[in-house]
Amino acid sequence: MSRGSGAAITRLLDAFPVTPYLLSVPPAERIMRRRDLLRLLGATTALPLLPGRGDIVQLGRALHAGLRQNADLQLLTADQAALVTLLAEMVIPRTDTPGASDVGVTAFIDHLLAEWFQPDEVQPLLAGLAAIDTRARLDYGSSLVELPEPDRVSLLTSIDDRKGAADSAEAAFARIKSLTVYGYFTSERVMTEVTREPIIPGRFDGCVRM
Amino acid sequence: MESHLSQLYDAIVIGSGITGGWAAKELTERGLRTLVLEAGGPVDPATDYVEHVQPWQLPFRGWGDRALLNRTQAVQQQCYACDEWSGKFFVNDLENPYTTPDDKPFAWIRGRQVGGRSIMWGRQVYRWSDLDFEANARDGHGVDWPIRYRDLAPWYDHVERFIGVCGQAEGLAQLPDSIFLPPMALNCVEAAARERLHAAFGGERVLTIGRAAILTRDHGGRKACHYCGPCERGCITGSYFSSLSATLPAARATGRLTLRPYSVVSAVLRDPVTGRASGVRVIDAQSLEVREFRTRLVFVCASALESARLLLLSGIGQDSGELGHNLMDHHMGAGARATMPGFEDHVTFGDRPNGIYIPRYRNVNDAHPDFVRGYAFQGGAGRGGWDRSLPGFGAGFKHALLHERGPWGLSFYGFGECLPRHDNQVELDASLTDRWGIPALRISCTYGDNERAQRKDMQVTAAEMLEASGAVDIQPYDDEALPGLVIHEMGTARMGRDPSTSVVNGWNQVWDTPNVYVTDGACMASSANQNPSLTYMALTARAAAHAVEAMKRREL
Repeated sequence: MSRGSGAAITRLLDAFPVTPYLLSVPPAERIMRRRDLLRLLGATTALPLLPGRGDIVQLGRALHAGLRQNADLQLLTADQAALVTLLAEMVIPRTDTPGASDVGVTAFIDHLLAEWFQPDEVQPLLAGLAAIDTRARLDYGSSLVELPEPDRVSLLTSIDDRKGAADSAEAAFARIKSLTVYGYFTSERVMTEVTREPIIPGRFDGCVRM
Repeated sequence: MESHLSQLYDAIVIGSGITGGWAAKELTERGLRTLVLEAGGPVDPATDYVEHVQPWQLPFRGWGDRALLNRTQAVQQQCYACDEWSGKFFVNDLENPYTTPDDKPFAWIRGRQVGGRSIMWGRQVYRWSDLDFEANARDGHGVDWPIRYRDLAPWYDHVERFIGVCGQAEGLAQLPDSIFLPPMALNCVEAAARERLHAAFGGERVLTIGRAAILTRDHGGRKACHYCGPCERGCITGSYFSSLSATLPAARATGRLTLRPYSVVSAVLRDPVTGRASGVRVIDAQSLEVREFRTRLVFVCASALESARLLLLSGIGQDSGELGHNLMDHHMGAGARATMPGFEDHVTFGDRPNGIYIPRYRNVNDAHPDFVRGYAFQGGAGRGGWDRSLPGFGAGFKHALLHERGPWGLSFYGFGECLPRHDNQVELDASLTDRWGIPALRISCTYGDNERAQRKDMQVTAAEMLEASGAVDIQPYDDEALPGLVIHEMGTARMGRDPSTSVVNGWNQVWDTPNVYVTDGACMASSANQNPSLTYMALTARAAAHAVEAMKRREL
């Protein structure tokens, strides 16, 4: 009796304890973030102009897409949003179909962090995101967004599918990955242009050759 | 408070859910001018049904407004169906409080709206057999049912012809066949498991497709299922049975139905001189205005616990001391799951809102040493799509989610019979009232040793059957759910042969007030292990026919 999105919802909900929470972002902090955003915009517009670096072009696209979404960030800072956007695009890159940043995954994650997650879930996740960037600097010598793609892949491979404390790089990547998958596959564009599962199948066939 | 001028109806039905809808249909079709009182508001399928709304159209993509849910539906959200789509079909827990002892939690899942819980019910329908109706007499738990299968069989027929039941005839004595529409298909893995179980267990353990009140072809003016999947969000084509799609329209078509939403019944009024109910008192849910309606006949169909509460508030049906007692729910969630190799090239098309069923085989032809009664399995086979967890990331990971599928899983999930026990009970809690000032219930209910013994056996025999099915990586489990979460609560105004030990007689009439019929789950003297709604509907139709005949004979 499994059902695509329903089963996913159940599985994800199982991972989170259900208790009351209060969370609002003070307006002053939002203003701060807009400043961060402008700084980031200044720093990244030059990147796609660098020659001979395909992954950097890709990165630039991802950051730009992220910036477009980040105009209305609710909780993430611009730097955090850029990191989330990069991670999401690495989980589900643009290929012959849209990637995570093409369908607003960062905005979806930001929305959930602001309005759905509880503070005691958000803070460890943000700490884990910072830990990913710290590891990039320690092990590879620069922040994740500035790493060449092979190094980024190497770093994420070292933390993927591994358990860690709630505020670890491993836990943060696992959660960003699952939120990316959910946000991607439940987005309007992917549901209507990519997976295109019929809303009204009209019949049930229990045994179809793939 | 001042009452308005009374209006006289031939019959008043309290509740518009699965039994209230049937009472309304049968009473109006048999000529009675009938008032149906529903505590909740109206539902308009055109605007309120959301089965085709997609996740991206919702603010939380289906996860719901968690803060709001935690505050207003802390109990209700424990039901799988109470989500961002269907949460509106479940009550606000703040308006509808109840209490339990700290060590006896009970999840009371409720729907207050026209159609009640028939809008988001599970739709599984199974007949009882004499194995069930004779159970209390045989082993001494509870009191003997005053009826047997032959009394109810024509009413099962009557109900099934109207609601439409899809399923496969199997000829099993312990689970009589219904009048079936064509069955839904088993998928490849389920079909293989059916054959292999037959080879291993003969006719003793049978895997069959679930029997569901869902149309597999057009029926009675309603359309066949289009396999979109989430029935609990409503169905604009009326393809699964609900009061809203079927019985209430039939009642309305007679011209004798008056349906009054937002009508919270606070008492059934009993005339001490005649010993009959003379009317009901209603609080308008919105204005809080109080008024009374007079009648010659009352059908109490408010759901097992609400009906018990109303009778307790009304001083009706209390002579035996059993009113509110013998509360049962089924127990669920023990079984086993496994992986089924060999079907990797196959998938399914369409979202079948139904699973498999393995009818009871314990204590059918032999006696189990550890427990009485029995259990059945529901469940089925399926394979994960993009929602499965996979290691990796990047283009290959994306390709696997988009174009590959996970292994086939097969799960047998048990539903067991609960014994009627006097100490599982509800009573009025004087310390607490609901939004309308009506005393709340205190619910005290636990599962017992017999249920626990069944749960152990469920895990063992589910694993046996998975092995016989050719599955691997077999994992027995016991995910015990709180009492109440099966949402089959029943037994609080039980039927019996003796007014000193039961609340209603063999026609569902309250012993001390014979023009009051209780026909929802409250009347059940035992629980069997089958999903109970079909039996509630058959009992309601039978009781309505009895009431109308009794009125014609001037006995009521």
